[in-house]
Amino acid sequence: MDGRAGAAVRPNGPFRVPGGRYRTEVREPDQPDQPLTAAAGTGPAAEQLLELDTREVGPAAALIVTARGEIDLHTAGRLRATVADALTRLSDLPTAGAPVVVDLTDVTFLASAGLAALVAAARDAHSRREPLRVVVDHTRPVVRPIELAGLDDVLALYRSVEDALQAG
Amino acid sequence: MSTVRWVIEVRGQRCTRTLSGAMIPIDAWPSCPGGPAGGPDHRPVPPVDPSTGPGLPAPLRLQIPVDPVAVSVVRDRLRAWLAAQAWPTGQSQDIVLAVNEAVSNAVEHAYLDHPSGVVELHAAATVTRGGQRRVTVVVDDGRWRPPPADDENRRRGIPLMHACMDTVTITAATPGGTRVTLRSHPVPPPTLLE
Repeated sequence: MDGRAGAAVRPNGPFRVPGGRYRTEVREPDQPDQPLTAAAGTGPAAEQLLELDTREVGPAAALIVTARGEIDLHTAGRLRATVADALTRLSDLPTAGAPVVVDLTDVTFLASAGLAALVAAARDAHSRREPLRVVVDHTRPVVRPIELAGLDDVLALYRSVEDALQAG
Repeated sequence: MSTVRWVIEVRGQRCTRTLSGAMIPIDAWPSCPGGPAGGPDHRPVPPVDPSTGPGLPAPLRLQIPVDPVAVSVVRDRLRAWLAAQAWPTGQSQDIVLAVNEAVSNAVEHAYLDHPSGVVELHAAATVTRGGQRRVTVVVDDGRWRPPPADDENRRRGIPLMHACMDTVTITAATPGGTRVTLRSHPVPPPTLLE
């Protein structure tokens, strides 16, 4: 593991980290001279795998956490922390009953670590008596694990951010 | 010199792995007999399916560092390997999800006690008697201790593997490592797909 920036390996987004802390390499033993690389660290590269942003909607009507990318072992912790922060911020908003909406419509992959983060967030919201609404569209890699794990009964799921904001 | 841990057959060449994680052809290992048993501390050689015929791609073999970021690289590579065979999208996604769970479990648990280790993946396509295709993926974590007690991710990950694949076999291999063998549902040969 050296400090050089890793080469981009994923066609839909570079893992380029100038001055990145270290590089991880997956090797194909038949092609030892061409490792598949991804630069890693706690900096921009991790955020390239999963982008998260939180915004307030309207006059303190809701907080929307938007996730774009892949939610897996590496990134699920950041999702959980971001939603936890949003739930904390919610208690500062003047409007009672305002929800946190987690928008997964731009998520391309959801693993069990992501499911665990969503369930933990839902439990956290429930204990604070704040609504947590999760938006999923028809993206199969998101919907399928949720359904296979039976979480469509546990999470409040909506088809669009608009539906989630207008509910209840 | 370190003990031969196991023998794996790759493209007809028998290879083994040293404790440092290097994969080397078995004939480079001076103390190892050339027979199928390999050595005293061996694991069984994964069967090379005789029905693997022309038109099927070479198996995918990956050596994965014990690093959570590496799992995303594995998914991309596996997706590309399946796409190259025109694997149907839904089944491909299921395979990637199941393999992700197996590799993530291995990486997550090896991270604690064997951070310099390597998780190995071997994926091969085979043809069934009915002319359909399946993919078999073996994930070998090569850990040196039994898996830790249940945790939430494992509890969800293993049922996801079962739901996505036709068969899932988790075996403890000496000396304390875990091997997960995932066999996909069959899909039609590519000529029948649009």
